[in-house]
Amino acid sequence: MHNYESPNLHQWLDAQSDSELDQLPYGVVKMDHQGFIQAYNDKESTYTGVAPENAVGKHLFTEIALCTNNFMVAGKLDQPEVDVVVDYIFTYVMKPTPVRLRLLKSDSPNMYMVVAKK
Amino acid sequence: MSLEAQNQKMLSIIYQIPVGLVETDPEGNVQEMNAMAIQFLMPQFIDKGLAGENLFDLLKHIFPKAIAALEGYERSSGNILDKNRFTVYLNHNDHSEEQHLILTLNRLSAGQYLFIFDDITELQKKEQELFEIQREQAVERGKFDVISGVLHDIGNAVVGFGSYLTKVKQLTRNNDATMLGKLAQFIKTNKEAIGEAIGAPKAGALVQLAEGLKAKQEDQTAEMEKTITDQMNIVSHVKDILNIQRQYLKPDSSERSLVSLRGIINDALAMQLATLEKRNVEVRTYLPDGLSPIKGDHTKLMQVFLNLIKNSIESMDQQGGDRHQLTLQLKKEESSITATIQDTGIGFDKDQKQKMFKRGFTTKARGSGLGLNGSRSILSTHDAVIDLDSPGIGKGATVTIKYPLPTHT
Repeated sequence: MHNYESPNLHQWLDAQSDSELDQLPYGVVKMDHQGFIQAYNDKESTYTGVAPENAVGKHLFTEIALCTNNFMVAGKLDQPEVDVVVDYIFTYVMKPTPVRLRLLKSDSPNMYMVVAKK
Repeated sequence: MSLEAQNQKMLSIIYQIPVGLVETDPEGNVQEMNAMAIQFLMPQFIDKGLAGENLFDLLKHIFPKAIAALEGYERSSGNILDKNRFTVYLNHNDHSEEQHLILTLNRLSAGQYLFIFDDITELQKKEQELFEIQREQAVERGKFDVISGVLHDIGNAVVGFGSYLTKVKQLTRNNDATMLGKLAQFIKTNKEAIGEAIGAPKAGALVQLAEGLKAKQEDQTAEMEKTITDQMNIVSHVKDILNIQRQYLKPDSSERSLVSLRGIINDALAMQLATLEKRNVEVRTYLPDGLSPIKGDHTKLMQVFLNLIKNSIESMDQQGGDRHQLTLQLKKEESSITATIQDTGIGFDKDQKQKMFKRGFTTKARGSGLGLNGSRSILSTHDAVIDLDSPGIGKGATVTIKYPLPTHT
């Protein structure tokens, strides 16, 4: 069974449909290499209060999760291959929420920000 | 729109504004925090091993003054800090980067603090650059003041020396030749009487001696006068050069007027003539008379040409040898005047050319003066374009400056 820590999480997520992503117990933001959101799963939506239909098509770091637009998160995804875990804080609008992020990028056209509430 | 929806809308605007906002309780526990605050502060929290729940814990590390101000604040509400600057260090990818922030801190109520952060790193960098430029300009201005003072003193000394020479010249005229002449004449007139006393041959010899002394004295006087005249000519040349230099140091000379490029180039050459002669550089000028004047800053353009001639001299020094040529040319084209300075110096290759116009670039052991970057910025304020060309290292270089002519309507 795949979970947040699985080593081949990226491949596994690539194989999931949007509705399958919605079943996951952790937040998943699927985007292209430019950072434009392709899927925003239900769990992520409950963490942030942003409805999936308001997120898909938008740019994650400049439109939805501005708090991640620094070298710790957005900057990391400038690298060609990324698989790192970052302790961070999200704000649901203004309420700070400690989270653990896993950032995934490889030669697959999709990259991911996977979010677990601490 | 319902009140709830309006609140949500306002919150999402506050969330997105590009200024960091953090609300804490009196113990520093974060109540609310917008996106930009997290963007600024998260790297610091992580760096200090903090979870990001208490802002005071972080400020104790990065800006303890804020905690002191907050503890010393006695009113129940009001402004505690107003746009206070502080610097934090971002450690990532094996290097440390400075980030400059400003903080405004307000007590909203007894149980509520509002921290407002902004990132002024870019602004600070620009300020620093501006400060550097101003400092350089002040140093230049200082150099000018010193030079101006020195020129003034040399000028006074030269004038004093000139009048001293004139006095010496006058003194040489009141010499013994006249007296010796009179003595010779006296002996000649009284040759017979003297001959009777000391014998005719001795009297004859005495006349010859007196006349010889007179002639020698006259020769010496003529020689001395010539030397003094030569020296006076040198002094007057020094005065001319000093006058040229002073003219370019006048503080109010930075005004635009119609200037003659020919005059400027000739003046610049005159100032460097001694240096050029010393190095045995053959100077060729093609500076036709009657070219239209251009509108410009006399002093600054002079600096440019002096600098370019100096560059040529230095590059000829680097090249070595003693058969160098410096060619200066002015050419009128339809709507512009082109000035070219061609030397037989060390030249440059393509790589060097790319760096040449950068501020502070030099190939010299001691950087001198304006630099090409400075020349280019002066020229660009005259709408003139400067270009450098060289066939390669060891093959000389040509500087071309193209001035647009004032358009007549």
